[in-house]
Amino acid sequence: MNESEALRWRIWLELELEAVWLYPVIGARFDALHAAATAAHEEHSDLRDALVSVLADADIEPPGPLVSYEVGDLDSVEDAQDVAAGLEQRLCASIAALTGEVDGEERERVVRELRATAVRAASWGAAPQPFPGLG
Amino acid sequence: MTSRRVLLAGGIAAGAVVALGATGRLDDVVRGVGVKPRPRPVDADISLVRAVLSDQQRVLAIARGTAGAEDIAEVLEQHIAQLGGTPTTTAENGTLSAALSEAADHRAGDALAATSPDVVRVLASMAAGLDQLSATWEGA
Repeated sequence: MNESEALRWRIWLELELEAVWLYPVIGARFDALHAAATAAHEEHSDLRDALVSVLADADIEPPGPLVSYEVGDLDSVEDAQDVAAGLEQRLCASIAALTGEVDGEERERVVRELRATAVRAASWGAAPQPFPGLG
Repeated sequence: MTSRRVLLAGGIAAGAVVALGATGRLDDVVRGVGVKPRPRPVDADISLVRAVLSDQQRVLAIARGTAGAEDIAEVLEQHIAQLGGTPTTTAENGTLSAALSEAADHRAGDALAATSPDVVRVLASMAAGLDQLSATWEGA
């Protein structure tokens, strides 16, 4: 794994850590979003674990979680949906950047996660974009 | 986070790949949009992006022939324009949800087959965009 690729994986993992922190907060505050937040938390937890393994396998120290994250207002369901959609869109950007750095099965996996993340962003209310993660 | 400039560079780079078919001057075109050209076999990517354009035109035609899919068509037009094509004005019959889903799978496969990192990113992102359209349309 070269330096550029390692950086991309780390940035992706840092955002997954933020997602793992965010969704329980949303689920705890808003009953209407509890089920969706729980599902998202499980998906992001799995991804976090997978990304930690990728970096560990490359003998790279994975970043750890922060105590908390500054995500903006979470005063209403609409706020929470906006924050979640925004985080998924930032994830799309980090994953899209990595697609061009990897090959073979690794690229296949990264593209698959980009697609799933884009759909998740839309499920939280993000408007469809022609090129998610590139703008 | 990827900046809009990178989006434009990536998109235009893909368009430049198409342009190469006519000009044979990929490096000049890519330099012109601020992307540092890298040595790479481009012939396969040129053919790939041409095939992508053709398939995207088919999906756009189906969207144009589907009532209530104007917003979908607008995004599909942007795909084609970013790849250097002219969006079709033809309308065709077809099942839009299936067309979007199939196109997303095809673009993902195309991203796996592409050589240039810029083209990989653009095609992978297109697949994700088509998935968003499919999810939105099915949820409408």
